[in-house]
Amino acid sequence: MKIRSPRYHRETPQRYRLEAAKTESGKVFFPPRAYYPGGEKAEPFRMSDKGKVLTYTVIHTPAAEYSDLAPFALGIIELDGGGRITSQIVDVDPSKVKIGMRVKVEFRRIRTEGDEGLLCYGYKVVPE
Amino acid sequence: MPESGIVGYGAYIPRYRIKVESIASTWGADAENYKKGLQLKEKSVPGLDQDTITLSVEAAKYALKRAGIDGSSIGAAYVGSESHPYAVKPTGTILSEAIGATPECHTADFEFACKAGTEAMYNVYSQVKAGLIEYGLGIGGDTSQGAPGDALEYSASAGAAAYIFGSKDIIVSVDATYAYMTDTPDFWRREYEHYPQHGGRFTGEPAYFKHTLGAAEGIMKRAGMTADDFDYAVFHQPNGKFPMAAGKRLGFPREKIETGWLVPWLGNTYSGASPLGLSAVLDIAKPGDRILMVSFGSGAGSDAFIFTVLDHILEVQDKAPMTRPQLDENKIYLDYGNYAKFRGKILRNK
Repeated sequence: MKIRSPRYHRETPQRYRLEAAKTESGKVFFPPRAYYPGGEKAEPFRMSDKGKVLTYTVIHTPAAEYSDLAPFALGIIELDGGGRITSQIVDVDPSKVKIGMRVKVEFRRIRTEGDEGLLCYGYKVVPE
Repeated sequence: MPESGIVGYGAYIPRYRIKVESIASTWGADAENYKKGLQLKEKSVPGLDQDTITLSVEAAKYALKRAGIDGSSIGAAYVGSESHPYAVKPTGTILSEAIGATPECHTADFEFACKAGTEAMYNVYSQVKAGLIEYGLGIGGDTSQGAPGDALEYSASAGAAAYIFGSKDIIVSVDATYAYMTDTPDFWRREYEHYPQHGGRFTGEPAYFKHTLGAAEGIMKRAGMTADDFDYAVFHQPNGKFPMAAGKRLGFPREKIETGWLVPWLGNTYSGASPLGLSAVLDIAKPGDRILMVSFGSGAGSDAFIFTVLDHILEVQDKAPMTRPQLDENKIYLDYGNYAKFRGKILRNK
């Protein structure tokens, strides 16, 4: 399946640089929203590239475009300083992944659109 | 004229490895020939989700950490590689976007076989020296390919090193630069071809040694120096044997080369090879150390640099992961089947 270029391009600040938003009360929203709960204002916030595994699962039967990667761990990562991302946990045997494990964010190729389409980049995490 | 020197550097090596024995046993070759003759033990392999862009971004992030600057300060970003992922669409735009250097940034992708990385470094060094930019980023990175069963398959590996040049808080000064280049058909890849071709033994004396020695002798003559004036020497390292032989002919004892001699455990990272050797030296260098670096790119040519390490390096060496630990620790070994899958040499039926 091919992603439309405008959508891919629109998501690059988040996929490439983890650009989030932090409200006046300190809540981190990723991706940033147009409006925040309670009418709070928010400032741009660059999330940390380090964190820990909050929870995870292991994918054995992924969508076709990720089949060469299976089995792989997919987790929710709590980043230091606030903010959470859903990310593949790579460069590790999925059976060795543990809740609370320290990880760091790396720039990786997320998907490849066949032989002709875009190469789509973004974040994954690896053991720290 | 403004000063221009290295203000930050970063290296990135993937965690995956394959041993020479795994490749040799697949093709019925004698592993000992490669281990003793070319002094290769194992090589790095990029992950399924890694390419020249991802390796370059990680190396660049580490360089920014050591330089203590934000990506938005980078006025020019050049990536030298012979494995740019797109045929048409720059590696540099994705890299610059990922480190936050856009939009006020000049970028271009460089190619010159294995010396594209030092071309990138030379260009940003020159722009800073000319006062055109405050900071510039030069990267050498590759996920090099060797055809199945070819001698290159035992060495072609993956890695990247990034250097930020600037005129403030310099950690390594550039004392001299020199280029030595001729038209020599030792190694090439035609358009639409997946794997490169090479001239076998012709890649040695008339190519690697002529240009590497020519550049090293040329820069030392201009600077009025000999091998005795240097604490370290880093040469392009297509295998373990060539850089040691080049160093010996130039009068460098083995111990001045070994720190930046990564190839027996890393393989040939092509555009990243001499820049990664330099980063391994900078990780442990002391103020006052003098370094000779000579790259080599087939086609063919060499860039030479004379560097002097300055006091400020002590404050930045441990601000990002070092080179040698990335090479020695957290390795994941692949068998030949998985290696072939990782490198796109076998494809799943669709």
